[in-house]
Amino acid sequence: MSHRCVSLVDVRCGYPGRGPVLLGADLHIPAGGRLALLGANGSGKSTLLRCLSGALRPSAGRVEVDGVPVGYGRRGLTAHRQVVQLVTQDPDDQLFSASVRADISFGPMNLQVREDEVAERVEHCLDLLALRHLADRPTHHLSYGERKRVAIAGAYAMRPCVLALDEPTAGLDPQAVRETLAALDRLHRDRTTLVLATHDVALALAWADSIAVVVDGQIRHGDPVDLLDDADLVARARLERPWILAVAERLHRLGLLTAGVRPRTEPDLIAVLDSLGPLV
Amino acid sequence: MSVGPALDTAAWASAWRHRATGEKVLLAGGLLACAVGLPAWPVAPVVLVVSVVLLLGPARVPPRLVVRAARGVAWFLLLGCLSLAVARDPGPGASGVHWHGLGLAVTDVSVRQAGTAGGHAVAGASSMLLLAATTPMTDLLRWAARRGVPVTVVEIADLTYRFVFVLLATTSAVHAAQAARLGYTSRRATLASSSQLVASVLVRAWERARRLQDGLEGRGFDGTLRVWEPPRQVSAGFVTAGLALQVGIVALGLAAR
Repeated sequence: MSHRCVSLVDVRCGYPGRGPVLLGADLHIPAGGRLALLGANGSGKSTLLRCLSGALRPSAGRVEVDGVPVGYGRRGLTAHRQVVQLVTQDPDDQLFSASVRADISFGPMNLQVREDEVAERVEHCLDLLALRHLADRPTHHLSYGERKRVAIAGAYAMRPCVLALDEPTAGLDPQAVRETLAALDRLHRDRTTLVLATHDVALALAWADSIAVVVDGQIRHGDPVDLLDDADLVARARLERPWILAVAERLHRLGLLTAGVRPRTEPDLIAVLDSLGPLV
Repeated sequence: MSVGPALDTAAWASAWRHRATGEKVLLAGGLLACAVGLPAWPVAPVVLVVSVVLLLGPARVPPRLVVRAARGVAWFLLLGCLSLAVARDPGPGASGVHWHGLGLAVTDVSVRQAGTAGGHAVAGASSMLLLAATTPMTDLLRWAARRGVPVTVVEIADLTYRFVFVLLATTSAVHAAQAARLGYTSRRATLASSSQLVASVLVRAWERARRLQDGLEGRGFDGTLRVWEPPRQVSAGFVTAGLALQVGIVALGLAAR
């Protein structure tokens, strides 16, 4: 897969009876990166993802791929769905077949791909998402986390340049979260741009190369530490400052951390503390 | 677990799960044809024994499941046979038990008819249980589609099969939530809660169908649910053994005529 540039340009979008949710939102998805999308409930994260994937057509503005606006006719959407795939929050909104293999194969079959290539894509997805041991189980016998990974596999089998995921770790136990993130890392190494909507600020800080915060119908995009250290933005977006940033700030004030050192994960922070040596 | 989902679980876990569907249809269908078309004695007990032995032996279906699945069918067949055994009173000349006041009787002829029909039915049901407990519904539907059953019918059946389990889970969850708030403690409350449960599940089913439509369109759905499954080799040995078994049963049945 080659990296494509996907952007939202001045997008306005909403729902009947609710009014607009996105009010002139601009976002350029960094190709090949990992973008975390943060925001309060109802802020427009899912709406943004649906606009990105072509499932929702903005009332104003446009979604572009390499500078070319997405066409919403049949041909345009078919082409766009090979660029951007969306994995919805509820896996049962995507899994229509009782057979794991059959469900994963659905997308490639619709692309009129040759059967031997469909088979190769299915097997590749089973390995990438660590689903091989579940390949012969029916989807209704899978746990919630397993069904989520099958849903991801079904979208990934389309070989999109951008994979958008709506809260893929919501409702998962810590081990399942680790397994899902490990699977996403394998997809990323397989040259896929990832966009992940989440409420978990610690996850966003640790995982993402950049974050986009949806607030007041607009998008603020930038470095995870810069944005999550912005108290005003965090408050307006009804987020919470990650504890690691609070501890790092305290260490800075105590002179124990040099400027420019910005731990983003627990191992980072522990490594920094270890480097300080004994303090007493 | 009720029998339906238990049969489904057995089918997915069966040792015959990866056999070509056509092989199993040929075997079970052949046994069904023998059960229905040949004399009930001695063919019906032979088909029954063969089906049970195959289920418990090479197919490795748990015995407890076979008994549970057979129990429901057995009661149904028993009721049917009882109704066949009771006939209009043919008059004092026929041997048997007569209820002249009701105009009904259980005669030697009616008992023989009930036994014959029951034998055919039990044997036929056992052969279908052999198929159902070794072949997941998705496999049967794919096989049917390749044999010319209209695609629309197959797709509707496939989706229904998938979402029966989703809706069962939803119904169970809503029912448990209602029961936890004393929704089934009186007849009046039960009636109200049940109607609300049905309404709630219907609305959720509708909403889920709409979201599924969106999800399918996102993966290029154009009106046909095209999928791929790995091809399965037909085992010449299995087919030969199955046909030999059926030929033997046919020979037995013809000899008994």
